[in-house]
Amino acid sequence: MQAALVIVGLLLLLFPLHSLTQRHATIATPTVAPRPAKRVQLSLRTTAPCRFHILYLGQIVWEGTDDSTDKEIMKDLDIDFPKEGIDLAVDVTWETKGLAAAEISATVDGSELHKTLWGQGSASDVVTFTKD
Amino acid sequence: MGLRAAFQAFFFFVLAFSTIPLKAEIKVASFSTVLSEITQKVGGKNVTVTSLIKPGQDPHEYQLTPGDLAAATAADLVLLSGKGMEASYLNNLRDALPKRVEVLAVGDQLPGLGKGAGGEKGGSGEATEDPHWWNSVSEVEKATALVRDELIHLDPGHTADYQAGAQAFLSELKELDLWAKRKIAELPRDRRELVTSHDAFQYFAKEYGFQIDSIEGLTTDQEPSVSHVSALIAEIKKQGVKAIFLENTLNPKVSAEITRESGARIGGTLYADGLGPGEGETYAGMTRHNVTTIVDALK
Repeated sequence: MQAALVIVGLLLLLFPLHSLTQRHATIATPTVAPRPAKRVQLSLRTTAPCRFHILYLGQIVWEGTDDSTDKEIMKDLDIDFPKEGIDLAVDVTWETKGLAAAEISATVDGSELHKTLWGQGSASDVVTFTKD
Repeated sequence: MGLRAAFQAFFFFVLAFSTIPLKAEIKVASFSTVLSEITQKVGGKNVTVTSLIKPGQDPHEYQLTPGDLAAATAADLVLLSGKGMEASYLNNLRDALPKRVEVLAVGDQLPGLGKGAGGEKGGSGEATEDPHWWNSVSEVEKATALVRDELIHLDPGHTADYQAGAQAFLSELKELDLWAKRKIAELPRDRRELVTSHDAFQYFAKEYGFQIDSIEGLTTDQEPSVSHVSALIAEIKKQGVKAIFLENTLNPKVSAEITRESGARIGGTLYADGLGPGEGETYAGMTRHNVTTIVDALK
C-alpha cells in the first residue's frame, strides 16, 4: 500500500518536473501595440447632387446622398490614424452626366486635409490623408 | 466645280496614303515577358513577337544563346527591359545586331529608383537601380505609350491600329490600377512593410506606400550576408511584420532561418521578375496575384 502511494506521488510530480525542465521555444511573436483610436471628422461637399460611399480598411464607414451643393455634410469616425496616414476608397455617382466634383475633407488633431474627385457621371478613387 | 473639287480631294487622299509604306508585319524580339505582352496587345495582328525570355524564367540569370541572337538579328525591333537588366550580354548583343534593327530599352526611358535595403552591386554597368519597373502599373502605362510610339515610328501606315491597341490596353491598366489601390487600401498604412526575396518591389512600394526590406539585393545572384540577415530579423521583430514573401530563387535555408528567428510566416510566393506560369501568365493576373498575396498575408 505504501509503495503504491509512493508511485502515485512520483507520478504526480512528473507533470511539474516536465514543465520545469521542458525547453521552451524562444520564437518571438510579432506584436504591435494597439494605438487608441482618434476622432476623425469627415466632410463632403459636392458640385452636384450625388450618392456616395466611403470605405476604410475595406469596410463602408459612410454612405448616403448629398442633395445640397451649397453646404457640406459631416460624419465623425473613431479610427486608428497612424503617422503614415489613412487611405479611404471613395465612390461617387452624380445625378448629372456632366463634369462634377466632390471634395472630401478629414479633420484630425486640428489639421484639416482635403482631396477632390472629379468625374463625369461617377468617380472612384483611393484618397490618402497624411498629416505631413 | 463641286465634282472637280471632290475628285481632286479624292486624288490627293489616295496619293497621300500611297506614300506611307504598309509593313506586312513587324518582327519584334523581346527580352522581357511584360514587354512581350504589351507589344502583342498594342501591335495585334501587325506584329510577330518572339519572347526570348520565357514566362517563369529568371531574367537575372539569362544567358544570350546563339539561337536567341539569330532571332534578335532577324527582328525589326529588339525590346529590352533596360536599367541594367541586360548588362551581362548587352554589349555583345549591340555589337551583333545589324544597323537596321531598332533597339528600345524601355526601362531607360522611365524614371529611376535607387538601391534599396538589400545591398548594392555597382560598376561594370550592373544594376545599381531597381530594374523591375513593371511592378508599378503606372510605369507599365508609360511603357505601353513608348511601345506604341515605336511601332508607329516603324510602321506609320498602321498608326490607327497601334493607337487603338494601346488605348484598349491602357483602359485595362487603369482598371487594374484602381483595383490594386482599393485592395491595398484594406491594409493599414503602418502595416505596409514588405520583406521580399530580392529587391524587386521599389516601384511597387513607391506607388502604394510600402517600406521595403529585401533578403537579397537588386539581383537574384547575390547571396545575403549573415549580418544582413541578422539585421533583417531584428527589423521584422521591431516592426511586427507578420509575413515575408518569397520567390523560387531564394535559398530555402535562409527563409527558414528568418521565419524561425523572427516569428514571421511565409506569406506566399510573388512574381517579381515578370510573367510566370499559373496566375501570372498575364500582366493583370500577375499583379492581382501579387497584390492579393501581400495584402491578405499582412492584414
